[in-house]
Amino acid sequence: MAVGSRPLSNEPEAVRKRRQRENDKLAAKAAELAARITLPAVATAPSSPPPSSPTPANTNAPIPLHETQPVSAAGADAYAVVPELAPRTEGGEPTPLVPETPQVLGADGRPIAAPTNGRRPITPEEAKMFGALVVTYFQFGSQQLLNKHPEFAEAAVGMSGGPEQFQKAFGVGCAFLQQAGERVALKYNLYIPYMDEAIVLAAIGVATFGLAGKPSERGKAILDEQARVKNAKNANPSPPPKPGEKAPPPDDIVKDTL
Amino acid sequence: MSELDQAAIVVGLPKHGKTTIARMLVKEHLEKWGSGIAIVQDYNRQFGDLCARYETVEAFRAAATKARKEKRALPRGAAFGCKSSALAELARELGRLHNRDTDVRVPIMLVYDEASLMDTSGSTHISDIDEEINANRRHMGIAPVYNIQRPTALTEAFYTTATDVYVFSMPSAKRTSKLEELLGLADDRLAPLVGKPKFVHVHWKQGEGLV
Repeated sequence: MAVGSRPLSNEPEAVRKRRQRENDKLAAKAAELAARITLPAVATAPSSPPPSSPTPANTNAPIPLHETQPVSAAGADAYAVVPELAPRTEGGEPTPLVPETPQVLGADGRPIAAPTNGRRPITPEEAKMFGALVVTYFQFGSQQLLNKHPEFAEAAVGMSGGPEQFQKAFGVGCAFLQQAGERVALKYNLYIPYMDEAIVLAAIGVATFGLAGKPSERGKAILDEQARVKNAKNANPSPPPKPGEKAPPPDDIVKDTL
Repeated sequence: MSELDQAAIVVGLPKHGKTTIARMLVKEHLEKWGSGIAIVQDYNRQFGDLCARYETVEAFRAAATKARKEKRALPRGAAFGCKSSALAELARELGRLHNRDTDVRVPIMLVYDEASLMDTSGSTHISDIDEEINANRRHMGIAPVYNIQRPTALTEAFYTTATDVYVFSMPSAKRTSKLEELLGLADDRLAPLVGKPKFVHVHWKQGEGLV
């Protein structure tokens, strides 16, 4: 499959040219292989097996059977070496066979440079979360900014050409900010230690406060009003019958007939 | 199976010889490639004479780092009791770190001795990492090996990229028919395998058929 077979409308020229060179190399290699391989002429009826797995014309011919033999080995140490590789360049340092810490892979799948702040490398998922947190904080703060300073909102909408255009531009800006946040997190190895634990504890704390904490004055007033309405309904479930009218049946009989 | 651009599937009932085939492949790999390594998911501890045992990838990293600093030899085979996803990520990391398609410095054999215990792919899907490994194994220098008890324990995507498939006795024609479909064989070609005794198998090679 050609590398990058789907052209991107906004990719840089240098990247496009590099991809084109790689595609040309692959195409030349494919042509060379095709010239060297000569496939036997086979029937191409739909019911015949594909040429990649030829079988004898007589399908009743016996199939080649093998019998598994026990495998013995002299021990794991018989295949032991010092776990490092010779340097790739003259005078270079040997490369560890297995890095001491997991290498973070970049977007192209290659390891990116290890951070130098002495901590474990941030993972791509943590970098994404950092970018998302930055955007969330920015969105919340900028909304408050526009609420407190309406003149900023008018200027921003005016410069964008209208409210819809402003919304669109804001969304694009947030996406850009999120990617920048991820890159910053990777570059400077920014992660929040024990972040998962903090999130779980915060959620439990909020729920516990809601269940066990005392209501505010306003909250108490609302809850008291709700209780008053409920009590009033229970005390007078239905109006008394007028003189001469039959009293309505109790609720439980009506439910049973339904 | 002794070339780098390889992927094997071994299909058979319990105790028919699947692990023996996997052990044979690991041994061949370690003997052929002086810098080759084997990463084996070995829940049942059957690779002890070929591989050193580690419970986690972190333990393996620590052992390798210690051996390198002390200039001691470390077994090139590593058998693990941890999740398959951790091993797939380790193989991908080492493959991307050391290997290119024209310069494979560390041939890596990645063995799942019981693929039904994989926490990545299964009978209905192939995970992103397995798809990446299978599609780029030549570039990453990785040769995966999957041991399964049913042909449908892995999706067709695995069979499409397999270079070697070993098939042991099957309990019914339904399973052999499925394998014939997956391997592009004529109808009933694998029928003789139904009811065969243990340890008897066929070997299918991509581009050559049954060999």
